[in-house]
Amino acid sequence: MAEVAHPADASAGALRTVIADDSVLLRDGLVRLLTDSGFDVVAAVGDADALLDAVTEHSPDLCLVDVRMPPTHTDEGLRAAIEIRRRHPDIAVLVLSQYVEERYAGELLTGDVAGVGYLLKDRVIDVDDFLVSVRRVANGGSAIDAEVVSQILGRSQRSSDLDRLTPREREVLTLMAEGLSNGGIADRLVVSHGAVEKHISNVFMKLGLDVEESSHRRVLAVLTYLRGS
Amino acid sequence: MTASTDSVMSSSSGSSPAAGVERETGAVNQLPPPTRPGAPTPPPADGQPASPAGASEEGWDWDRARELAETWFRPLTAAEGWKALLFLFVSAVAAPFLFAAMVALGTITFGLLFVVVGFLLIVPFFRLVEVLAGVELRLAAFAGHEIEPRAVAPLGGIGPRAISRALSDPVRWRQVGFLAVNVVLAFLLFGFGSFPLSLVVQAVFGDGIFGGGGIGAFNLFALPLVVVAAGAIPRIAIWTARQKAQIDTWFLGVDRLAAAERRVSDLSIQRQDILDAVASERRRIERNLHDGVQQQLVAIGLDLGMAANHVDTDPETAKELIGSARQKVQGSIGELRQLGRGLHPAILEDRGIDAALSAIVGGAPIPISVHVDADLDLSTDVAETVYFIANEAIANVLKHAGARVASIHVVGVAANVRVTVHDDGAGGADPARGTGILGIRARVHAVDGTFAITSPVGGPTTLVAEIPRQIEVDRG
Repeated sequence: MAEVAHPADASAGALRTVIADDSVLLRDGLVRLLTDSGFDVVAAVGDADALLDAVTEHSPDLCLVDVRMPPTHTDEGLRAAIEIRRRHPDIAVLVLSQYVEERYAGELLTGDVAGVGYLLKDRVIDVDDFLVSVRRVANGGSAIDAEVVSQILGRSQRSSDLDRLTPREREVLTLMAEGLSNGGIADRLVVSHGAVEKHISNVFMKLGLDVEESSHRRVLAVLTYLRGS
Repeated sequence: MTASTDSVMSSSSGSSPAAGVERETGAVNQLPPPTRPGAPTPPPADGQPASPAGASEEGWDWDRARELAETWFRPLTAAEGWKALLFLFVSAVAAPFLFAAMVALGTITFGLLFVVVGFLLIVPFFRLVEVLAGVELRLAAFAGHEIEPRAVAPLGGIGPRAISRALSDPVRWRQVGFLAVNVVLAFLLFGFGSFPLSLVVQAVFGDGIFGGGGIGAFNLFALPLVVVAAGAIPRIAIWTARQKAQIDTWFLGVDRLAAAERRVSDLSIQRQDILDAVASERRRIERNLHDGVQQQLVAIGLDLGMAANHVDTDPETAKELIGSARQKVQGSIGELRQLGRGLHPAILEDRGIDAALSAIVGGAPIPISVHVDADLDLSTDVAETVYFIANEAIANVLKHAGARVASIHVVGVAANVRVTVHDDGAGGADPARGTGILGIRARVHAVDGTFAITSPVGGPTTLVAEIPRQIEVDRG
């Protein structure tokens, strides 16, 4: 695992999880996957209201939330996720979306991204990577879909600054924005920790950012920078 | 052909042998056209070419004259001219009476305004005007000029609202104006339209044959005048009646421009409806793809991903996961098939509307009867629209109605085809909600059809759509 488990989780045992998805097939699949992987799925629901009720009832460590749910199949899940973050900042929320819609992603990823994830649904097919992301979010990290990051990168108003980065540094920047730790980046790029650290410091220097120790604050800094604000 | 052969043969028998060879070519050129009725026998190819030409040179060509006379006098025998004359006459005679009736009631109404009772007469006054103006339209129709009346808003009662509606309706004031103008106009036009007739009558019965003018006047002046004027009677009458009908149309007939404007606005609404229907249809497809098939594919991927993780350590679980994935693949295929069928039913093209509708109800969980008129021969466009209507309606029934039975009837009604979908479900279908009903309505309106749904709470629900069997490109 890329992330070291949060001390609180170790004492509490399995991560208590609520899953909200209106597709029965996928919900059952997720329940099975997480249960098999040692999570404690305390509730699996099909709409946003039931999700909020389940959160109130179980106070879970983590929620997996589908964006589109009944009745209107637009952004019920996302609004519920934002509501959960507002009411219980300590509950990690991983939103699963059918496709990247920046409006959705932007709403969720403004502010503190600790314990927040936004992934495309089909990422679950790569089971191991998905579980890594789930655990990272549950432990206070973040998981932002590569698609989202590349869209943000593509529309960034800082493209002239970004042009100064080498291709490798750009890759590192993207992975940082996705929420990966140094170790995760090193694994993904198949390079040493030292090389990753060197790339990161180059990126931060070229973009004029303060080097952040905590990885989720680093994500925030990178995202904020990319959005150009 | 037979006639000409005969004539050639008969002529050649009596032809002079003295006819020279050099005349032969000339004779061929002078063959008169056989179209002339009653003309003398065409000359033989070998002689006597000048006979018809000679006749006309000698004196009056009676055949030509008869032809001319026939052409000139033939309209006298047709009904049209006399009808036009009658129209002008009756209209001229009626106009003062119609006007008088209007003025009489108008005066009474106006006079009684001071004692309030007059107000009660305003609406009846306009009603009367409408009826009186209708007389003229009927007369014009008798003469063959069908005038589509300008639509007036119904008044509904005689109260203040009806009064203000009547007073503010320019169409009603046009009727009043017409009756006033018509008094003079009908008289003048009758005078003009009947002028040749009065000439003839004058010549024959007045100063002519039997009148004081005596024989001399008849010979020198009256005969040619009567001849010319008699032929002019129907011609002038028809022309004048047409002018009158046009004036009537201006006052009382439908306003082409307004009709066109209304049509344009109808079409704009239709177009908006179509666009809305297309948009909601696309949303529905997108939702079906995302929430149906895509979710299933993700679930399949998840099964396979887990299976891959288990394949070494726990082959039994891996096998079970793969089996579950395979089942979901089958579900996805079924869903895709259904989605495709909603978009364009192949069976409709292959086997017609009856088979296509039977396919819809075949998969339904409740019994749905299908009746399609056997001799109904629908074009592809119409059949597709009928199919769409029935498909959406049945989808609605299955989704919302909770019906035990339902039926689809497709029957020909005059130039239309009527689709009736009935169910015994809970009713309360609201056209304002539910994109299904809106979609049907837009589709029906798009082809100038009519749509109605009756669905009291508690049921039953009946949806009736009627669309023209010929969907044509709109020409307004």
